[in-house]
Amino acid sequence: MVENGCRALCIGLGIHYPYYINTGFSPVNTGGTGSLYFSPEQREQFRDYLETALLPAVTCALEWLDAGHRCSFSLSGLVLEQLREDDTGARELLVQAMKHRHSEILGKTYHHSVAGLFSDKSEFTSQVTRHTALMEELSGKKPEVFENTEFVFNSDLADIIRELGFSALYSEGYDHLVSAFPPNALYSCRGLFVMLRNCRLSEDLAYRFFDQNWDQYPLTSEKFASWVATTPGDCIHIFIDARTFSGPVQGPTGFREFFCQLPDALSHNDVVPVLPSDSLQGPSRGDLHLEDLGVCSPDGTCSLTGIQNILQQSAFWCLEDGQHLIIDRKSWRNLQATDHFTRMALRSGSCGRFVSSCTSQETWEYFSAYMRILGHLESAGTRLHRSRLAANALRCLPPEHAFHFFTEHHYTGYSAYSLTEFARLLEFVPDTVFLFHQNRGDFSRWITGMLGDTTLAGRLETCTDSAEAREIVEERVRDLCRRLK
Amino acid sequence: MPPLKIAYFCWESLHAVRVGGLAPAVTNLAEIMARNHEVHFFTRGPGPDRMIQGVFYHFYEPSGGTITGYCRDMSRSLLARFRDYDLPPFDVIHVHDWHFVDALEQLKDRKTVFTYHSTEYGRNGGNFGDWPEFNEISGREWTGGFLSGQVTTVSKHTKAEIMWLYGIPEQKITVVPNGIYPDAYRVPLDPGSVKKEYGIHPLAPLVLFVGRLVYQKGPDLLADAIPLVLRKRWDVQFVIVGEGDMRQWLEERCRPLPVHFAGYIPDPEYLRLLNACDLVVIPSRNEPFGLVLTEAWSAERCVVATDVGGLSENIDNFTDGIKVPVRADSIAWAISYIIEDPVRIRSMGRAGRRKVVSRFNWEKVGGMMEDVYYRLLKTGERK
Repeated sequence: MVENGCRALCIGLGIHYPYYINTGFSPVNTGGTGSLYFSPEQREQFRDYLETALLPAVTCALEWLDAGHRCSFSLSGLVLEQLREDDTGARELLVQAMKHRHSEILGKTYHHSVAGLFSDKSEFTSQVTRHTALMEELSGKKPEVFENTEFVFNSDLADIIRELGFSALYSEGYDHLVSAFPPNALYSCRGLFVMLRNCRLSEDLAYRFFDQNWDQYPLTSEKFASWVATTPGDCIHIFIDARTFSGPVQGPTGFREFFCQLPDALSHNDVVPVLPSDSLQGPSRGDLHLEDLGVCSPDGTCSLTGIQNILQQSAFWCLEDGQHLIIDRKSWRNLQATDHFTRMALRSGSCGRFVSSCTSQETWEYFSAYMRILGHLESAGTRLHRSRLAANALRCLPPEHAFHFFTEHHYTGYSAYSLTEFARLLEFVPDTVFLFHQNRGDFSRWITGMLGDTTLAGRLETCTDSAEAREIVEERVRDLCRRLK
Repeated sequence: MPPLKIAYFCWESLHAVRVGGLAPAVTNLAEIMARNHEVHFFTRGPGPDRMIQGVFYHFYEPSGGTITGYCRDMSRSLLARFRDYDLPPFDVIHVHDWHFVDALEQLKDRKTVFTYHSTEYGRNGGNFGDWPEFNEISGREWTGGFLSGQVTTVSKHTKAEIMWLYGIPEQKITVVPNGIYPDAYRVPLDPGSVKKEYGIHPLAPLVLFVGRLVYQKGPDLLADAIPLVLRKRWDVQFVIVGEGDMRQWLEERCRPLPVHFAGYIPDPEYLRLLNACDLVVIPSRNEPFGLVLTEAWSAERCVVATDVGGLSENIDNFTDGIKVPVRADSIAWAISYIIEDPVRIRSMGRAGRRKVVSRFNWEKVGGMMEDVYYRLLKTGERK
């Protein structure tokens, strides 16, 4: 496929734009419609994204493709959905690039969602199927290589992805200090080929390109091509988010000029852009186990999860538990976009490194807004359920209604945003904390007042330790779930 | 090299009375030596004399109103026991810290090694004291260094300290660091479940302090740093392991803070905590060596430590740990800085582990101490 002495390079262009939530959402005065859940400026913001990022990226990519170079696309369904209302011709341009004989489409979840982490994988499967169908319809090509949201990947997912008909998947090529596996080679895992993204080169383009303090600034396409040429390995995989094109134009060239000049520079350096599916022809360098990626705890649970802090965990649990409660599935799926979870982290970025940071206050506010919306979404559907009481008791709560565990003197650092999370937390709530709240009657008061479940509140009143309480709550949750169906 | 008959004098051991880092350091050294030599370990503790791991332990339970009186009683009785076994005579007598200087005085004509695991000045947080015990103990430390044939210290820092404190000539001093068995400190486990046992959310970052709760170890600096860390990141939790005079004061001080006092915990539990935590903090004001450092590294943990003594010498800043000035706000800065970067924190832990394996393993350290003994024997008779 690639002649000797030449280096293969896979460039993937990521195109995704979520529905951002309305951070000013208040459950009062919503008028019962779902439209207020998402940002009122969504259309303007998307238009901005379209003009500064998507259009330049696609135009540039088309130039690449027309010149005979290869490039792959990772598109979320949400972008195509939002493009429907657009009149700039971007959709046609994008479809043209997708159909191009030199391009390849990667498989992913339609909503760019965290559904892959749900314990019930049916939602994940349906989103992938939906995405595949849309891609086939638009481009006439069936995605062969899968790229999960944020490259999240664990053993369960590998099996499902294989069963869905993919032959390979992308994962994150962590720093060699963390992972024993160099990223620029082909591996296999559970019957799938695994390709690892080259973090350093991807980040050179994504973030350092714009950093005037970087010792390699300004980065020219010639310089970058020579780095690619000298990187050891079989094939180098780089992903570029279309948003990079909207980065500030400073110094000699903007990112767009850089990217458009890249093919020439690459050919000077004997680097050949290839498609991910082409790179699969080489031999596998061995079996990749998740343990090797440094993402496994020694007790055997392995995952490359995007859930790293307490807020994300609470939001994720509520989102997952919501699947039986929520009637408005479309809004619920939009809330699964990983972008929402990124905003709940103090520092976020790729490759395990952080690139942007925000304050605790900002993450907290985003989380609060998210929980308010999710809670409202769940309670909006309660009257349509068979058991209104069960739906009410199982719904998730915004921070102002959550149960915050305290010791006699301070906050313990965790809060229950739903009855199920309450049961989960009771697993490790220390006795002092438990008794502190129990003696004040806090548990019963919260369950009666916020969740409206007087039966459970009554049962909890006489509890003396957290294990017993946990059993009672878990049993009640099972009971309520049964009533819901 | 011929096998030697060696006597160890140390008031702590892993098999009887254990206070701080002295016990594992000396016990493990004795066991390493016992592979090639005959080692007798004279220490305090209950029970009959017995052989443990190849080392012959001689126990005695001393009494005495003051610390110095207590040590005098211990020295006198165990010296008598030493005489019982002194045939054939011991080749090398190795005294650890000042507690047995009375015995060393009686044996000053023999081949003796004195090891400073710390100094009274250092234990006092790098300050002189004006009370009688301070002067008496310092005096004995001076005597120990003066009378012995060879002196070893656990770090270059302590070497410099005893050179200016006690005027000990440089050529008499050898630096032999404390060793460690790195594999004993790495335990495979799920950090989340250990955190849960302490009532901590499995995803909350956990910062661990291990040490005696005394001024020298700087737990008060950590207590002052905690509110500053929480200002940046609210979900960090702290576990403080160890006992000491300052515990009650610290508990009062930390009442409104997410701090768990674990007190003394058994070794297996300590290992679990060490392997479950995200970061180890060593805020000492003075640290001759800092055994916690090599323990944390063995478990692949990143450390934030004050830039003092052995810690300063052994940490490569921002490679295998972060060194900060002895100030609460600096400690807070380093904790907040590194806790945010999970990848960096892991790679620093791994770098530490590599260093421990190559520089501080007992095989290597035992060899260094053996060299000291043979050098001592070559110096010929004193007088």
